[in-house]
Amino acid sequence: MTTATLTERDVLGANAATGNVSTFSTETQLVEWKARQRRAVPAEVEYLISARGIWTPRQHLEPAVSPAWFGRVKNRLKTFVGLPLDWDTYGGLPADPRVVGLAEELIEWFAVQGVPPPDVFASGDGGVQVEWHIKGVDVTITFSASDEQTCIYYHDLIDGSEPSFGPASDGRLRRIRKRLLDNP
Amino acid sequence: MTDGGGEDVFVDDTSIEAGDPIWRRVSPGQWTYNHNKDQVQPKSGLFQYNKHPETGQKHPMSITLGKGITPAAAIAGKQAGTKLVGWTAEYVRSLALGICRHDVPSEINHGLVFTLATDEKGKPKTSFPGSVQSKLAESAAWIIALSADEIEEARTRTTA
Repeated sequence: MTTATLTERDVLGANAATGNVSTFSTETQLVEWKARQRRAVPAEVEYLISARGIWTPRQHLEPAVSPAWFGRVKNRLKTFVGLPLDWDTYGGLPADPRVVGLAEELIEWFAVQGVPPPDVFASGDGGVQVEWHIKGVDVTITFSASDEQTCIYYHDLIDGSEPSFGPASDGRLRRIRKRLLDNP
Repeated sequence: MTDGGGEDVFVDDTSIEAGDPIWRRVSPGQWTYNHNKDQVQPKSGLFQYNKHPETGQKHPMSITLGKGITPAAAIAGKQAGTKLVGWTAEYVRSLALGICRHDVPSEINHGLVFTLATDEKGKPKTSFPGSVQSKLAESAAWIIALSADEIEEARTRTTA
């Protein structure tokens, strides 16, 4: 696998002059991920968010049985590309197919037995939003079609911690999936 | 409204009283089921600054000032199935947001909601944090309500 350092900005084709470098797929993250991969037990699903999407190495993925909802969510995602201009009555744009593809890859990674289906939405800027409000957690992942970083809002209503909001990262995504697999 | 540097500056309009209704349209299907609260609510992404598709400039969230008009007037001419959610101005301000009037010819009682937060240089921020989006979504009252079928569809869509 090629692991060239690209940013989310490259994927989305945003204006290079004004875009911020995403925390996605930095060299540091790649090094950290490789270190984790070496430590990982065989059954653990590891992945890398790269400029080309979400990559999972060829490991034993017995627990990763895609539930029935994945096809349904994928079909809903695809409809966002064909939305008319002003679909939200506030000047909304149809979703960028590259963002839809990125969201689909991430959702597929979440689509393991025990994880409930997310709700997915187009956002007015051509991006995609993924939400869960179940099992005592509120999660929103926002993929922007512009130069903004993919962000995660996470609030665990059971452990009493404060809500967090920040750029998507390997660690945050792993924590969310683990939490959604729990059955409190 | 701009300051000397060309930056948009928005000022909270105190003539919009605490109890005045602040409404936002919700286009069909832009809601989700919150199983934690056992309620259907608009998607949180509905509550955010917009980005102009050509200039890229961000502008505050459009709202309708509901005082003196009917809910039906607020969605007149919009696609069938459009809903309306709202809060009081007092609640919106409790989230460190400001409200102002903003006349737009094609919109009745158009206004804007903007963050009062500033960055380290004192410039106004141009987005709502996730916690504010979440609070607006969870606390939104349905002014034009969903049907029982629409609620059930949202519930089953988010159930394995």
